[in-house]
Amino acid sequence: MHGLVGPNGAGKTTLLGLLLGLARADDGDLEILGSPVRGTLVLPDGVAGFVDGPGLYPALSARQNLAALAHLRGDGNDGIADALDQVGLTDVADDRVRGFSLGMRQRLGLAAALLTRPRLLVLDEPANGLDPAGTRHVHRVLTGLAARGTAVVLSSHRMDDLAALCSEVTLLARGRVVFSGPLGDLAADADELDYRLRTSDPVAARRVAADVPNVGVLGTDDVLVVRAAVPALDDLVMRLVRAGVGVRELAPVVAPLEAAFLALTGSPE
Amino acid sequence: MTDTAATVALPRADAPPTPVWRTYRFELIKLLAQWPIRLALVACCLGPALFVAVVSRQSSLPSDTVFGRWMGQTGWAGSLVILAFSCSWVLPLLTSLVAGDVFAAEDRLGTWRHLLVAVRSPRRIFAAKALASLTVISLLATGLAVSGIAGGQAAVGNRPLVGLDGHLLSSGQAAGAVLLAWVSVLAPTLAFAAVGLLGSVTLGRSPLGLIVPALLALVLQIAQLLALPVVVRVALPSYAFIGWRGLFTDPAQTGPLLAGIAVDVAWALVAGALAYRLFMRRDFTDSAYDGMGRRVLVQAVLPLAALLAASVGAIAATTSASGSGIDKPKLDRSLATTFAHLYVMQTDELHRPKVTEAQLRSGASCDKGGSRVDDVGPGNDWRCVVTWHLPGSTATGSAIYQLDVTPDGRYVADGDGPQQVNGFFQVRTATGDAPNPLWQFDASVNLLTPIDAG
Repeated sequence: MHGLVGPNGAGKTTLLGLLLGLARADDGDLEILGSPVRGTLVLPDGVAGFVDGPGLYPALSARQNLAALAHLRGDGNDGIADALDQVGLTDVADDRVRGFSLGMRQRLGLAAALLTRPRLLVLDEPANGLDPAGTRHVHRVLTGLAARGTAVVLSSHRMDDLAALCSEVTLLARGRVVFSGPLGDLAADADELDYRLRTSDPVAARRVAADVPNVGVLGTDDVLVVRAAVPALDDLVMRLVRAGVGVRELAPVVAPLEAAFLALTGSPE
Repeated sequence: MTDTAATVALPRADAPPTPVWRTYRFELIKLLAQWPIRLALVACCLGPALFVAVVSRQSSLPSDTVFGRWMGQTGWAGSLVILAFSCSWVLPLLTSLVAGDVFAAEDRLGTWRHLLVAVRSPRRIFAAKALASLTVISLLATGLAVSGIAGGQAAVGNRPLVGLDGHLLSSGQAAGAVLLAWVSVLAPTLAFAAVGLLGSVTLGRSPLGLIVPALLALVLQIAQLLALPVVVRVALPSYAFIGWRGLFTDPAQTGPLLAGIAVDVAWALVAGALAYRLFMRRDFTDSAYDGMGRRVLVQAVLPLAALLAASVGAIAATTSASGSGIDKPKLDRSLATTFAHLYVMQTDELHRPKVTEAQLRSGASCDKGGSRVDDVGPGNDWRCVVTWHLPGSTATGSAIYQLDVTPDGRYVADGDGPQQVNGFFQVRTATGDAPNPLWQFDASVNLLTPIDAG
């Protein structure tokens, strides 16, 4: 599963649209599953997904929407019940989509994509509008698909979603790739981070931290915040222990992925 | 990596598009799932029958509508009243509802790109949408026709119909003419539907696209009320909506109707072709598309205006019609003929000795507005004197009529005496009072016959 992340206007939706044949490229070449994409509005076999909303017809029921799409492709209705079940919409299968919430529409869009048994699934903000239970449900579906060999490319603004789902991410900023690789590498790319430090003796801890090279001391007396890279942080912890100061909590103020995101995209903190 | 490559088939970007019939079926499902269209379908199937059944049994009939005054006499008249009303408003509105929204709906829902990716052929999507629209419009029109006929037959029965020249159409002839009239209005409906498709394609999600056929109908109705030259009147795409009346004269006035149908076919082809061309040129990857804006004027309105001009030229070149198409000789002949037919009918009602139209040797002399006004053109200031002869009598009967002649060639003749002939709305028969056919009646003149042929 590959995550696509970037600030607003970075080009995530455009890139996903290109993958799905829904956008026109100004320049460059695009290959999907090993074959060049020659034109717009042509979706290679084995690719499914949605951007800018799942493209549903509100006057039709969930089942009718899926049946109509299956019929357009010349497929039967065999997989419809299973697809609806996978996304947890079996109970409302015969309700008109007009009454669906945003999250239900997202799940129905995912069901429509699943119908084609894709080898590459492209999703734009699939958890958009979902409640926590719905998000977990969709995560389970995507994880299951990935386990069965389907490549999943998804965009999200939520770093926790990407951290939970993706093995790799691509970071876009102003239409350019600023990072692409394993999530661990992205976190490691982050240089100095801010850490919240709780100790048994805040005054002593502040004094010790001020003496450690490459460690900046921020924050109030009660909650000490230090800015450091990982090696300097290790040094600080060892010095605190030697000074007899108990370390009760040491946690990044901003998650490493988020910090990396902010650092690499130049977004204001 | 090698294993994966071996098991993953290469994508087929050149996979064939979805067949038209499959896309057509999808479009039909979408259209018929919309509640306004379902509501219209129910209204078209039930409304006319109820209206005709109720109105036919009332003493006050819609005599201002052509054939309305005969609704109590024959079941076929009710269907024709429905047809006349449908041609004014219902059919243009139905084309707005269906064809005017069939493309715009995808803009509103943001589903264009998904549909195109699924079908893989804009050309087939256009064909499927156009066919589905026409199917639904035909279904709605069929509902109107069948419902009106069924209501009339159930409420009044299958009886002869008085035509627009007073001659009596047998039940079979009336059935044939009524069906033919309904079929003939499919041509202007098709033209309006094509204009609706064009509006839907060009105006995007704007509600203006939805009302284009209705707006066109309104403009053309106003135009039909004006004293336009007959060649312009017949060249309007709405003319066949009134030209069907010519099927109810003997001989049938088929010239104007056929000319109107030819114009409608041309409008359907041109508007359809324009819609197709503009649809195929559209950039569907632009999700912010919101109609063509001012380019509509150049790319859609101007070609249709040119078509109108060409139609006027073609009708002027192929017919000898001129002016308003209405003059004294035409009215004299039409009124005398209609009077003779209706006099024979009145004679039958009163059980008087039988007389034929030939024996009556009826004639009429009409004058418009006195000696200072030319005897041409529409108006409610036509005054006519009808004369006739009864077999075995040397006396000449005469009766006076006031005529209200509308620009489309229809006129209402209002009897002005003597009372025992045409001055009272009822006649006393052996079985009781009956409507007097000579008191007031509708008739029409053929606008396309030469004026000097009188």
